[in-house]
Amino acid sequence: MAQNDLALLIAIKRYPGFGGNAASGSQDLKGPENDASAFYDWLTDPNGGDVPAAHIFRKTSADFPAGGQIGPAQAHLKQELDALRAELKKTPKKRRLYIYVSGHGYGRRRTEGGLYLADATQTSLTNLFVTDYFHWFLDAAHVDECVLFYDACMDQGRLAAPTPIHWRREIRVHGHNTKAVGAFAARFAGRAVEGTMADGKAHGAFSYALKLALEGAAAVVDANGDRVITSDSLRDYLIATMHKLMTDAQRQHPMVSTEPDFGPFDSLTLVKNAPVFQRPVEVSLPPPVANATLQLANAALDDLGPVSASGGRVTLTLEPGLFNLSHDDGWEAAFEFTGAETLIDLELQDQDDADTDSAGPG
Amino acid sequence: MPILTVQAQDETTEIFVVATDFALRARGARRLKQDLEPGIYKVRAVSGRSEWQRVVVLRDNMNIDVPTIEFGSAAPLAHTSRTHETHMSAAEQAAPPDLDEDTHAAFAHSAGPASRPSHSGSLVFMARWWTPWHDSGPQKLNDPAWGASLATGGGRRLMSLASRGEGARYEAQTEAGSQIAPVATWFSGDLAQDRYSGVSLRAHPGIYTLGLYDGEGKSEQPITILPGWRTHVFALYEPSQGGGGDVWTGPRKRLVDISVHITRGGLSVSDDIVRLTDAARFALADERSSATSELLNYVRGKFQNPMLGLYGAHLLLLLKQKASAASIERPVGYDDGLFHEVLENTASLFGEDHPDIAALRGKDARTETLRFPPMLSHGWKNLLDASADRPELVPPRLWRRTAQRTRTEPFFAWRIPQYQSEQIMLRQIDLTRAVLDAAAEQERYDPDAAGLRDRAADPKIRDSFVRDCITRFEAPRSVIDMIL
Repeated sequence: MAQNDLALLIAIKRYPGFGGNAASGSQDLKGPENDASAFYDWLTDPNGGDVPAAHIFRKTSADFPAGGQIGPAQAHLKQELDALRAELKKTPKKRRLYIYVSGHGYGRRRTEGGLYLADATQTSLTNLFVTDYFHWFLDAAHVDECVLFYDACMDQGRLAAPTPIHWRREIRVHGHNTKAVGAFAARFAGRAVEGTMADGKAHGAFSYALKLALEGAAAVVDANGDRVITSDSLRDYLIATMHKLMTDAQRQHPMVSTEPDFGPFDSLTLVKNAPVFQRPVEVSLPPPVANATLQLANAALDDLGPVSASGGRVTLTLEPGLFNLSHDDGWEAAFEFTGAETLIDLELQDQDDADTDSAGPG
Repeated sequence: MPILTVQAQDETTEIFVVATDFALRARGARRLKQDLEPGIYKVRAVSGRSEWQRVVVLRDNMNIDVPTIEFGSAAPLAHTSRTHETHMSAAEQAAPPDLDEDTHAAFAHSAGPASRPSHSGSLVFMARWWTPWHDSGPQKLNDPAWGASLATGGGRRLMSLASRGEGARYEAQTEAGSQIAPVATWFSGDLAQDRYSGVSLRAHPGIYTLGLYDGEGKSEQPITILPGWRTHVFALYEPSQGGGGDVWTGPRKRLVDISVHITRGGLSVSDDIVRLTDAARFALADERSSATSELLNYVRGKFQNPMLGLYGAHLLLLLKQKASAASIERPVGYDDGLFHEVLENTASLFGEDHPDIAALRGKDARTETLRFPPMLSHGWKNLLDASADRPELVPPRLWRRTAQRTRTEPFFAWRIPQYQSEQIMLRQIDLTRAVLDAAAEQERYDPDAAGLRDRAADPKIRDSFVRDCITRFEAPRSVIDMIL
């Protein structure tokens, strides 16, 4: 067990006063509690983060039922942060701190942002300057590694200045030895989005891609032949997957960031011995091969064997990666599978490819 | 090994080649040529905030032509995703009334010879709605230009830009003082759905302040009208969807995007350079590495797009400053000679005393004290940095006026809160407290910093601390010096 790891989870779903004159709850989100639960499950999973439950400091909207006290607010989070800091300072020195936040957010500049709190109103934008705390942990160097997952918008809206951190800085000479990874759902000054995902629940697009990644979809094989999830493989997976979890309207929206952002960014091994990730996916085929026997190949063009299509569909069980389906008559189509897709439409892709590809001297 | 060649239509397109483990294998700006092991690869191309993808099987040499990528923009341009033909047509046809020489002469005379306005510049402002969800049916949408206003560079209100009557196109008195020509043309259309409206007018060249309303209140930002040029400002609004769904709920009127172009005469919505200017705007807003030499060719020599000059110069500066988390180095780098060529060309259009030119020159700005804020937020950041060495460059009143900043990247904009003076006072108190707290903290952490709050610290230590405060609290040196 990762006895020396700790985590802070903040997820804010309900914003009863955020909408001004609009109906209470008009600014509520749907995904943050589901996302925080999914991340908590991964953190406590022996095959995941393997963090002791006692080391996880969690404050979410679920702690404040609708109709009761409004939270999490500043006081609740200060209490949680103070408890975390006290635990961090205990010996032995801690290895890693995970910070996961989800809710309405703001950006101050690139990779600097925070969360609006549950008691925020049009005239009082209470907030937690998340990245200032993140940098406090880096400067104070109570941990060797610090990882931030930030699922919130990065546009500033009406906020003029973030609320400063409530601790005095603890800058250590060797503080910069703390390795760090910051992963953000949106580039500055873009918006993050949520939607209903394949599990039937509402999630943030970033958090759901993160969930898949940590379940093993972002694993790569290292030099020792072990399946590992590194900060690099996680970044690459999130970039490939997040926009696939958005609707067309979200992808085309000028304010929505279809790519996550990263910084600071050190090379870390986040998970050793990551589980194998395989998911079924249905592939839609064009009429000429609708009922054909096709050859499946991986990205290195190794033959993975025949698959039989029926009625223009074939169901495959795949690990994430790039694949090719081909037929003896010369038809072939390559596709990407991240684990987020439930249907891959090669019928449509077949038409598009004809317009753009050409073999030649190059 | 086979060679993969990828060529994009747009100069601002970034190209990425990704392998089966989603890792980046190659990257390029507009074009890419890379030898790769035979296999399957994904080609991604990003332009504006939209992207195009293709998964390809590479066995032999292969050429990929990336088509024009549609992105959403406030300007109703060809090959963008949020427009209607009616909006495009209205944008192209918008033009101010011809100058009536008699009226103009009489008006100019009444203004007095010392301040005779030239009205040699012009402005087209167009606001438009866009409803991206088509299943909810037409919504009753009011005049999208409601609440929009034009003020002097210093903020003195000149006129409302909202519709003044009925009709697709009509002329009306501006009653805006001598800086604005007495008659302007208002236009509107698509009243039943995705309504648009706007105004075109002639004006004395200079810096103005554009005021816009959205569901969260009023914001302002500077715009520039150049002599002999026409400034086109587009504001794109969306209504909130309501009732939940995949698009967030929000205020009733959401300002989604603002686009500014400066052209000689009318705007051609199918002009590639105009579309390229918007793509460059998004690249700057998102701090992407899109300053290709081809893009910058458009701002070399005698060029015809002042906004592209500003965007291009800032994109170049970003290359100088930018750190990347990507595994493969970006294909373009900072070129000092090119930057100065672009800067000189752009400065010849805007003038040395323009705040955006001063911002690009930084501490070498050829103006003493700025009267107005810059149009671009990257420019404001540069000016703050420059104020560390030139405190007089950014006076406290500029910070005070823009203290309630909002982000409409890459533009520099600020909110006009309901209780403005009270809100600004609170912002001043917040800043004062934050700076003094930081000073106290520094004094505790570093004994050599003792006296920071009493103006008794070692000058070098104080200077270092002030520079840190400028970045940390986004305030100019003139303001930090007042606190410490």
